[in-house]
Amino acid sequence: MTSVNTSLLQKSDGSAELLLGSTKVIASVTGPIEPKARQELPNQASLEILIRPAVGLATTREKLLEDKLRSLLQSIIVRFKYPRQLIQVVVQFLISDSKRTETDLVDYTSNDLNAAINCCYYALIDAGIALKASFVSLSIAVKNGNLTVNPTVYELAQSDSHHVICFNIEKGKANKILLLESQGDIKEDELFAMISKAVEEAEKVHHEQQRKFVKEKVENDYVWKQ
Amino acid sequence: MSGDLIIPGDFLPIDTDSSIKTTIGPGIYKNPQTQSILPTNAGLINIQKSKAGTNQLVYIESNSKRYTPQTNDFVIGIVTGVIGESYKVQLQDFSPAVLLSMMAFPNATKKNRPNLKIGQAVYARVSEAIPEIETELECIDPTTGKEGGFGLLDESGYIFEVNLNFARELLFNANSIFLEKLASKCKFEIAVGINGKVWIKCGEGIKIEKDRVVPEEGKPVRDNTRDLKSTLAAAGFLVKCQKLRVDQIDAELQKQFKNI
Repeated sequence: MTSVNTSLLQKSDGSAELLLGSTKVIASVTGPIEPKARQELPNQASLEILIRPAVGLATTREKLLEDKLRSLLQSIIVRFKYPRQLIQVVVQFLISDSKRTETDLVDYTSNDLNAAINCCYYALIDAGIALKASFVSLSIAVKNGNLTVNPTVYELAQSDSHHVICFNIEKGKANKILLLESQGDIKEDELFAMISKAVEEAEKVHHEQQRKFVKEKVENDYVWKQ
Repeated sequence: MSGDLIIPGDFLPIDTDSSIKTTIGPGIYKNPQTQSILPTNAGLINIQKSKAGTNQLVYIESNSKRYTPQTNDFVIGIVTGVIGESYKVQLQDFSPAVLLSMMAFPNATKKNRPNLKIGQAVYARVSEAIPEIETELECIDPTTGKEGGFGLLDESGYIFEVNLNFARELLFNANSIFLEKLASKCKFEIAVGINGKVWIKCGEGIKIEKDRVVPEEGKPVRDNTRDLKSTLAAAGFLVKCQKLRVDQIDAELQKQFKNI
């Protein structure tokens, strides 16, 4: 089950709320705005990415997620269009299923990362930031060669390996892998089989969900037009 | 083809014949490395072809809240400081400040400078907008060299913010119904900045108590509260219109002007 709500924050330039499985996240985009002197790049936009957890303060875990998200957004935003400007992306988790129980020591990040990436897509679209292409991220668990898309945290714990994979969508087709984060045991041929199945799934998400939600957003923006 | 939804990464449905000159507008980006033209925003695609078929114009109509200055845009800015011979003007919160030269006013000379104070609002035209350098404004109509409606905006007006697509509708669409509807309720002066700021003043507008003129003996006291209420209602009406369907506008207008 997925639901998306855009333009919900009044004060930011773009925002989106995404519910994906049992993860709920809000992303806000502000920009292009004036950067601090140390952030300014003379020929392209600088990015500031902040991730805030559902509970407590940001730790190294959030810094790691920020880093992964930055590497992805850097390659997809048309940064040369905004020289000497700053684009600020803030991701706030509302509900996270990273742990099975409070005492559990294992902390899964893949569902969080996946939701953050997908939510950023809608927030960037809402803010009107120039993107080179659309992108779709998937969280996948593999057990005995079987794939589960958007697994629960229990399925992640039971799986042989789990992955976050993000595709660049151009002309309706997934043509490039922008990010692949894998954990667990997987053979090379299994990985390739997983990727080719993920391609189909990503294209499905793009056509059935992204287009639908973006269309709703644009219609909402022009509701006053006759 | 025009009016369809397009999102980043989609195929851009334009004529790629090299004999046709293509002009790209907002939402379209030309990759300097591959020279390919791609859509970068989600919105409604607009393609216009000249009658002879030798030129085409393509742009994406989309909404955003953050304004990027473009040459010849009409904007409302707030003076936030002075740097040498220029005023520092803020077009939006947290956006880089733009410059308004003291010489960019009609009849301005080294000796005869405009007298703007920090916090005052001006209506100006963007005279130069290159992303790599500081943007510049001017308060002169370039065709006549005269004031042409630009300059200081009266402090008795009220400034509020709208989305950029709505500001474009108010400024560019001559058949727009919103201001016409509003005119049926009150007299007003309006300045629409393409940066999403709107200045409005109904009648005498918003006046501070100390500015009020004491009426002469025997004359009726002119009450300013009606103008004040109208100004705020008009602003409230325009802000609300952004989220209403056309058939809901009349009801909203009645609601805003209920007690006036």
